[in-house]
Amino acid sequence: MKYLKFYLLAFKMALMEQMGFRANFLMWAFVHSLSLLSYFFFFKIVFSQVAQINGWGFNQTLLVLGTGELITGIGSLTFFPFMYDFSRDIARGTFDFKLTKPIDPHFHVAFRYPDIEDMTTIPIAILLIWYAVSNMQIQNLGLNLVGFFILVTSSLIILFSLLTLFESLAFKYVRVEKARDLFWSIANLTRYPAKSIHNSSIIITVFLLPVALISSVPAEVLFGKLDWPWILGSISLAASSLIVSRSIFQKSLRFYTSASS
Amino acid sequence: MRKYFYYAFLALQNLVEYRINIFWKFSGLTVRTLMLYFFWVAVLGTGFGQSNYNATSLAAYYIAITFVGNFSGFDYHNVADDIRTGDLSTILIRPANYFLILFFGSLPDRILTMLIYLVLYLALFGKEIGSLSLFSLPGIIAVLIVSLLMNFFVGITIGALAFWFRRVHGFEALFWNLGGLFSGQLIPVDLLPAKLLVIANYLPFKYMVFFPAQVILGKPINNLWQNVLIQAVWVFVFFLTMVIIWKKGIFKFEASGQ
Repeated sequence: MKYLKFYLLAFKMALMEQMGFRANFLMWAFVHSLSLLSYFFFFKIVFSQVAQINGWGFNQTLLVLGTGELITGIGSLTFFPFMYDFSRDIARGTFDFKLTKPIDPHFHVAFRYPDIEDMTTIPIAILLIWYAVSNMQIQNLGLNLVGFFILVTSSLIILFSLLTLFESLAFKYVRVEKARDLFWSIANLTRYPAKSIHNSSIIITVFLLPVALISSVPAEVLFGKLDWPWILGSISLAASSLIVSRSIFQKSLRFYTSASS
Repeated sequence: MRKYFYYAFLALQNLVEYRINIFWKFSGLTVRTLMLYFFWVAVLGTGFGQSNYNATSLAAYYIAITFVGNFSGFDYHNVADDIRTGDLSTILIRPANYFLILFFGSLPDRILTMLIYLVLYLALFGKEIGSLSLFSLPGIIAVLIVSLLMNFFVGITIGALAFWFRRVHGFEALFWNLGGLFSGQLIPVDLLPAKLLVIANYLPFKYMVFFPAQVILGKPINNLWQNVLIQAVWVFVFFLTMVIIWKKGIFKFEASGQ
């Protein structure tokens, strides 16, 4: 409860700050809409030439795009800002202030600054998902939606764990801000239907697996395809990666030596 | 001029000191490039685009595209962070040009990028290197320099928007997501429908990434030097935009001392 209150307070503060610049907020909605539109046209061009890619059609691909965008939006609103100032805090020694607060430091650094600007991607993603769903004849939509939200949560936990692992390296290597390039690359890849890529190479399959788990599997569940090994794989990966990354973060804390004067 | 080489040397030292960042950067690029490559191989499997590409030429294409994008790209974060944190105020009073500091500071990273991609290209396509004419080298250097300048001016302009906005990553995403359609990064430009191909000719993105990549790959290009001239015109437009934005931004810039 304490943590929920903390997050809600952080959210309120960020929202109040953002609402001071409403034009700015609207501009971000416009910018993100145009960005998403470019992906929409990209897939439109591809699917104007081909009907399906290994069983994946245009609307199914749009569902993956919408799901990837939704996950990015929710991530920005919660833990993505973990990657912005954390390594700087370590380098400057200002992480001391986080350690002294009566709250878990891992939670504090990850959820302290909700990114309201990127929140605008959430309604845009929902619109895109609604557009794709309305063009498909989906049965048991209500039930599918429940499964979809469970798997989106699972995807967010996988991404949070991944980010925690990257950021934990800051305790040892101090400056790891380029890790956000890799993280953003993975987050952006969730817009592609990774499960449409069939390859016999084990290396490629392992590479595509997490990307497919993050966005393609929730999208599949939404349009009614229940691929149980993938669903269970997603939930298992989320649970195990959270435990492992949390444990690594706690152990990495031992490397932290204050740098403040 | 010597002081700017010291900035390049400092950047090199920084690169070596925090060498793990090199790993992160190239991991991110590799992951992104591989995904697009596999996606396009899957698309080629349907029959679309087979007259232009096969799996091998597509791999060469994506290596060239990623190299150009990365070699000529400029990290706007440096400019935006300097403005946001107020560090710009201490840099501006130095007896050196801020843009040249940034330009020379980015050189070690660009040279490292060039070496890594050269090794990668030689390892994968070394046998085909003989088909490249020695006379194409001046063309490659020319288009790369012009592409570098275009990206540099665009990067500074995007970074300079931090004079007005707290975070500017959305502008970069907007520029390159829209540009991705026309620059060849999302979809090879020669696979675009005819109408979009015409639009691509009037936009700068194709000249920033796709055109230099085609020159590097030794693809036959009609009116090579005319295309370089179009690049030069875009360089001028971007330079002018950068100067105007920067001057307006500096006028309203405020920073308090520490």
